[in-house]
Amino acid sequence: MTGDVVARPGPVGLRALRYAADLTSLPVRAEDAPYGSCHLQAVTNLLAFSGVPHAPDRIGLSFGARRTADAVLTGGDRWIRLAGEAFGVNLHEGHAEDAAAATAMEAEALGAGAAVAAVVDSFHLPSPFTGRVHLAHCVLLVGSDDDAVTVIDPMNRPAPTRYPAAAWTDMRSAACVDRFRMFTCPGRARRRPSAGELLRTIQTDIALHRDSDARELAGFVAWAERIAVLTFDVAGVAAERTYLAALLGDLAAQHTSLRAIAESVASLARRWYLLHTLGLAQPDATGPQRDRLVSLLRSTADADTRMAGVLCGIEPPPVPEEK
Amino acid sequence: MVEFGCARLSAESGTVLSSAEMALADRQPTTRRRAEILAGRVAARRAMRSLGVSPRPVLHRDGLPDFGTGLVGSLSHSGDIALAAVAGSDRLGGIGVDVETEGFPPPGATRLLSRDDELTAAPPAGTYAHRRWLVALFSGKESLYKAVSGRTGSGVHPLDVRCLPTPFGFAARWRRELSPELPAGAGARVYVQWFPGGVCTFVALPRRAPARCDPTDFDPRHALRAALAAARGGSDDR
Repeated sequence: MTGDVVARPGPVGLRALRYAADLTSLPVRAEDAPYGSCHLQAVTNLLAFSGVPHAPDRIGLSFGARRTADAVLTGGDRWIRLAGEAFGVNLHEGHAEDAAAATAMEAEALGAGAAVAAVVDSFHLPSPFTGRVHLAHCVLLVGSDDDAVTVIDPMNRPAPTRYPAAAWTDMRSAACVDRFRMFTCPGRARRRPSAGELLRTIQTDIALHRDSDARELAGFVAWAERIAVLTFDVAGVAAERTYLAALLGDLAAQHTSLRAIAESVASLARRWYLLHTLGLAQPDATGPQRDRLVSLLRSTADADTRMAGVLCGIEPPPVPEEK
Repeated sequence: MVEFGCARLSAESGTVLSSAEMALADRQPTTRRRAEILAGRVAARRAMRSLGVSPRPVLHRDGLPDFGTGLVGSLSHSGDIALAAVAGSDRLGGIGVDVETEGFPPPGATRLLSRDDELTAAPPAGTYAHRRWLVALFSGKESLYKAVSGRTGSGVHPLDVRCLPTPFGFAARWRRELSPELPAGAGARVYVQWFPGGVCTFVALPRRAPARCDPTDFDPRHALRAALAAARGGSDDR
């Protein structure tokens, strides 16, 4: 990461927040739009606010696969728990039953001086999906008062922007938001794990979930093999590999033995993004086009499974804790 | 040095191979995938015979086709065609073969697969020639992905290799180091062979580094044409 920038103070209850504005420096960001990475981006900012150094290069602690719907494959999404444990922060994922409860939870976090990573409907925000597609998107809520909220969208509009409170309620209440999903991370980081510890965290997690991840992946491929009209979303799994590649790439700067594996994970992430964007370019694929996408999915899933084994087998470098 | 075999999915569905290969085929979730597995193995056996090797089972290891000790190989399927390439591992470190029908990838994928220097050398956008160039480019980069996978364990992204047109297909150069044996600036030849309704491509990487030139001492396009023609039951499709 390069320089951070200081967000402009918001109206009420907002401390002077620093946020990582240069997320575009991630390896694939410039060429492969990081679909599916908004949750990681937003929570990265929460970690940075909590004092985790190099947060964008530290959050990619999981390598898994999970089907959240027939056509959607995400990563293991265990990075939330793993990051909380690794850095000694109270990184919490929450939901609310209704708008009033969500507002109360948001206000409580802001009142404690912490930002909220809040899931919204991108239909209502400036983005490539504005007014077209109802799609879950994660932004930073950094301030609020009775009339408006102040939001930073790290992916599409990385500057504080005010929205009327009613508009915020609308974008938070959509079905795709999954019960007002939100992330908070109050307090300061208490741990600075070494490269070796981070690698062992990843390896332990993979070993623990390898069989179930393989089943999820195989189930997704089998679903694609059977369906006649194919549309799919694998951005989440691509994003998780992208952030793991960033972590390994950063560690490889000090430990050159990790360089090859970092490049391999980055290559795998780009393969998933290539598959995702080819799928986007050819939605509702049938016939030979569908067959070709399935074949690409199969080979990418196979490469992913092989990578899990390679990651488990690498020897973590013995390094002292970061100062 | 390299031999090719081709089979038709529609013609091989009743084929009986080794028990392990039949078990592999029977585990597939669809009849289409089962037919791909069977036809791919038939194609591989034809390539092995041409190479002078006794046909042997091709199973999967870590999700990749395993041609057994002493051989490297690659398989591809598209439409009704399965194509296999086989070579001795004493001379080649990885080979990739790919077959595509003309409907893939979609025109909107151009920027996913090529950079400015490749586009500059491509036929004008919107023309039929450009469409064919994109299909051949995608196929060539898939062959490169397979060849590099066989060599390093991980493939190469389409944007990490530059492919410029040549009389035989494309001259490929890595834009970054893929491994110590595949440094930036090195590369391989991508041979392109069209047939009615599609295209196939072939890449070979040497066993030892650095891969700066084509390791094959012959142009494999004639052998590709012959394999395709044999499977189609006709003469060479040039």
